[in-house]
Amino acid sequence: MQSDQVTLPELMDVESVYTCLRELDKLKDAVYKTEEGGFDEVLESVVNRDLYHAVIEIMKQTGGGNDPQSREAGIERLKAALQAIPVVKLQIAVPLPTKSLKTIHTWVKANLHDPAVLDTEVSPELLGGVRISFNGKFSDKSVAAKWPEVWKAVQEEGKQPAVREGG
Amino acid sequence: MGIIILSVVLGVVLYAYERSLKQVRRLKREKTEEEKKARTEAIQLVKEARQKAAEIIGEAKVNAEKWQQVMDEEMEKLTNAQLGEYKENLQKISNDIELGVQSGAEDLKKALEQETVGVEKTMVKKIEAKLAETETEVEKYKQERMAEIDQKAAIILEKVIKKVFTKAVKTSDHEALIIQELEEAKKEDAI
Repeated sequence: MQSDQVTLPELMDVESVYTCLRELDKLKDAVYKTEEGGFDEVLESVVNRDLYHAVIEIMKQTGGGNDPQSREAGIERLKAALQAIPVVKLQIAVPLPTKSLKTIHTWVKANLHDPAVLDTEVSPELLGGVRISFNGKFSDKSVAAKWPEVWKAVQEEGKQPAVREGG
Repeated sequence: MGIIILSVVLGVVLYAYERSLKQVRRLKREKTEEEKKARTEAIQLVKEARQKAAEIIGEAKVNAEKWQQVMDEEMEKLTNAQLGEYKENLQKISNDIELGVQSGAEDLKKALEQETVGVEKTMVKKIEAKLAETETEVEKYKQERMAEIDQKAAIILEKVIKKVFTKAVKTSDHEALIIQELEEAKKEDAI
């Protein structure tokens, strides 16, 4: 339940989560350093803005975060919370711009789970639509999956006698 | 006495001998004469025989020529008669054969005509059947080829459409489609 209380940065995809985890590892390495390359320095220079706020927030929750132990504990809690974010795996036909991915992410958070991150993979053979893997379930909603019946309908339509224009 | 007797006997013997001797001589002479006479007769006979033979031969030659002529004439007559008969027979046979052949030829012609017509009909039927079969096969082949071409065309078209489709759809449409599919999946409780 602790992870639920943790304020997490706004993350859209798994790459962002991995980036945060790498930055938190660096921050954790700096916990016991007092001189150059210490905790504060790394927090300022290495950690991204969204994560920064999350770290500050967790340090407040763990007794101010001034001692190395509490800092380390706070980092571990944050890491655990990040690793616990549900991943929605999406296979899509074409690479989508960030704007589109954000729209999809927003829908996922609103309809599936919040927080959640997207793990997108581009597979052109899908033609369009999406294949979704989430929470142990899989659904193929790609155009490729519907193609046979679509193509059959197109062919059937092609067999119909042509209607004369204006006739 | 004895001498007398002896002389008598002797005289008798001598006489008998003399007599026998004369007889022998006469006989010899007669024999010679007879032989001479016989030879002369024989020669005469031979001459006559030869002459007779010559006559006979001459006569025979004449007869032979005559007979040859007669025979030739007879043979010619006979031959002519037989030849005529033979010719007649031959003509008759020939006529018979001709009639037979004509009759047979007519029959054969009729039979041949009937057979030809029959064969013609059969052939026409066979050709028509074969033609129909070939037409069916051609039609079948045409249909198969058309189906094959349609299938290949469809495959090519499908490939083209697939290639074009993804690129032809706008990014915003892809996004909308994904959202739509996500909603549908959720509705189906598939996620």
